[in-house]
Amino acid sequence: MKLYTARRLLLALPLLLAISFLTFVLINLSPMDPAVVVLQAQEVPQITDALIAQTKEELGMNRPFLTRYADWLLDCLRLDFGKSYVTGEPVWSLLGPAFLNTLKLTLVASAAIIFFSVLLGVICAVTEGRAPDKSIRGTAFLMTAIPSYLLASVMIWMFSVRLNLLPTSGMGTYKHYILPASVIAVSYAGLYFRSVRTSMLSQLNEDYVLYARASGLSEKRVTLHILRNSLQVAVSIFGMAIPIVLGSTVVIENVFAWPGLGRLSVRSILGRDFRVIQAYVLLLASAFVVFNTLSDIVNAAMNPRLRKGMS
Amino acid sequence: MNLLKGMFGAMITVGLLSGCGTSSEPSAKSAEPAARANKTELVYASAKDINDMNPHLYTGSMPAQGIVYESLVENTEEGIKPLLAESWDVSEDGKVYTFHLRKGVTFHDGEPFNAEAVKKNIDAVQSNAEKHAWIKLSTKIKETKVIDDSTFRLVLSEPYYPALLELTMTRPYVFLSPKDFVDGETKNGVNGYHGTGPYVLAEHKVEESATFTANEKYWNGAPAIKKITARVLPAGETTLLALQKGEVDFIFTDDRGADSLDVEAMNGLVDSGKYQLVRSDPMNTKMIVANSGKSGSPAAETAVRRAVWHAIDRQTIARDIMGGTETPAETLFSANVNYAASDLTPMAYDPGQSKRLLEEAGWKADGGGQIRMKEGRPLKMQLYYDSSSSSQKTQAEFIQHSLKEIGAELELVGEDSSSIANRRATGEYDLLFNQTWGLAYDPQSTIAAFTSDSAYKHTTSGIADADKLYDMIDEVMVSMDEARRKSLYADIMRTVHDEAVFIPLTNGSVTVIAPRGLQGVAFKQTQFELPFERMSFE
Repeated sequence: MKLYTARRLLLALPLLLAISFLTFVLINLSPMDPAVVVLQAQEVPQITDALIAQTKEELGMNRPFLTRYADWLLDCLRLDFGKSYVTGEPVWSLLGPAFLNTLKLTLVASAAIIFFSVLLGVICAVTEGRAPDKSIRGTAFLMTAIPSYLLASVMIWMFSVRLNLLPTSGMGTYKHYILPASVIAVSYAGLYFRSVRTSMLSQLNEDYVLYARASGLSEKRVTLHILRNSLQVAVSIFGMAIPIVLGSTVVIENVFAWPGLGRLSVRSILGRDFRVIQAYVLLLASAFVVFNTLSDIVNAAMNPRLRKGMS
Repeated sequence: MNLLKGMFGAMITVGLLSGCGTSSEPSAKSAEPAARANKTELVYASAKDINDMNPHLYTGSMPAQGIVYESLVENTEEGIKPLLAESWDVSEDGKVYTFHLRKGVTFHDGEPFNAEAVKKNIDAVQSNAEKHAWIKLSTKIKETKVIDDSTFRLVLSEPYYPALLELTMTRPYVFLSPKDFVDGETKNGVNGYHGTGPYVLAEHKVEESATFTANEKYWNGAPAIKKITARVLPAGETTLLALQKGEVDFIFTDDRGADSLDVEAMNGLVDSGKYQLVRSDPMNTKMIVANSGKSGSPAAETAVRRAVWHAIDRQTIARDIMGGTETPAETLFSANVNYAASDLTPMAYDPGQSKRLLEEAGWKADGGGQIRMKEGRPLKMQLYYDSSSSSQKTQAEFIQHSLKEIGAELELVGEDSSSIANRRATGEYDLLFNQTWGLAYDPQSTIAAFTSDSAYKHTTSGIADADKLYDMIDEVMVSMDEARRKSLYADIMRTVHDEAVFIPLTNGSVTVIAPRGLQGVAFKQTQFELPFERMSFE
């Protein structure tokens, strides 16, 4: 098991390397002079040629492309992501808190997504073709079709302004999590419960279900068996869902004024703060690898057949 | 079919839910913004964080810096007034400024404000002079001298009339406690943000909020509003909802003139009875900049530029596109700007005149062709607008339509603001949206930028009298004779007006939404600061 985990994580390294190189190349394809871009992001009112030369020198932009990449990579290995071009602060001091804020929101939202996906998925599978199944699927179809910024605005208006139950935006108490996490959960649970439903339905036709029923197991026990087996698919999906949510909270963070990664990344992209963008991409790619690996491990733990294949 | 039924059921559920909302008494449960416990607090919404408050760099929020830091002198409607300097003398030759500093002023950290502190601050700015190239004073300071504890002398390399004016600006010539300096400098970051201003930065939660508390030891008396919170609300919809709920009770158009609230939302807030709307005099001019220096572009021709000017209906833009929040602008600088020329020939909206000008210049509409041609070239130009500004896009579309009427084709290109700034610097444009620097900087900084490569050099370099124009600009900045300056400014403004390189659209102003009971909501001579220290609840 440990070996398997270690191998999975090791395999991720070349992947991360490729991703970082690609980002570096893409960023350097930008037609604008990077020094000018940095100065604009620093909102310097008038950019002179002397200032451009000075900035290039300071930021080491005169050196060849590959040298810059190699230096950056070496620093990264020492967990030093450099300083932001715009504010001069260490990248990690910007990215770290923003990442934690988004991660907190993502975990709360993911818990809600998993809970509702499994609950609704099971209900739909058990009542396949009957009213509960249909109305849940219909409602979910509608809810996922609503753009999240609109849903967010409507929910703030409803629960915060009209009913005065929750704060409109910002971070602080547990109450601040309810609205943004709900909006995220609605959008994603509406998609993922279908996977749970489908995989449960496909399990229904397996031999072991027939056998279990034939042996006189109660329907409740049978459903639990099916659920356990069908959750494997779901776990993989959720494993991917967490980094997806992590990387796509821009809209939610904007509407709810959540000081997270999404807003930081947009700001860095608009301000061409290359070092922050680089670190952001690397962070997110790592998150994908980690959560994907985690979900494989959870699956392995749940399914002895997978464990056998590993050793 | 059954799935459809399910969906139908769901729709009804949603409909019922939203129906419940509308039937209840509007805003019955919302907190009254004016009913804050002690009425000495304001919470304003801002689209951006206050950022780095270092007053000697440019990423910080100017309204926030404006209440924490102070300058030697202040720009008012009546001219330059004392602030941290009680009085000053200027030498005969206009090169030596001696400031008599206010006594007993301390920085927020308790450090004394004296000539030594003034010298350290100005020296720190000068050691990073290249970043301050826009403020011409930075290129003319030769020496800074401490005469005694409360007397400071500034020696310039040549006379420069806007020296005092540039010392009034929000940055960089404002004062930070020398204790906050890092190795005697401020250019590589600072240790703290202690100014001498009416408010103290008490807490800063990055990308969330910043809290300012009243400086009880403020030399001009402690302000009545004891606490100001700047909350970061990036989305306009949320800002509106937060205002309705009373979580936020104050907003103003931000640094960039970008309105996060539309006119309808603002009017709705005022109609609710909880808010007042106060609008300033014109603060800047929104305009289209035409590239006279781009050879081969129709925009390089005076006749074409004038035709564009005549083809635009500014009344409609101000009334219908800007919803009446801005006023039509007929000249580059509005009348309340210093030295604004009053004898310019108005170029009113007159598409007929546009067509005549184009005909005379040889741009002919042959037969059924929609677009005029000259020597085989079509009358086609590109207009660049800031893709994040919805009003610029609408204006661009309106102008595109107007130009089509006179036989010119306009291609609209939306780009982010830094790409537009880059085009302005490299000259790769025909027309682009821009705005003057603002009341505190007009006309001197905007006009100085006519000669700057990164600003309006391309815009102005193609006009017939470009060299003469640049000479006049050089002279006006050093002339110590008021009458001479007046006539030079008049000539400069007439030249660019007649050449139609800056095609004015509307005058922008600062709009404030404040709690109804708040008194003293006024403006400074700049769109980037608000005098919170003069506000109070009744």
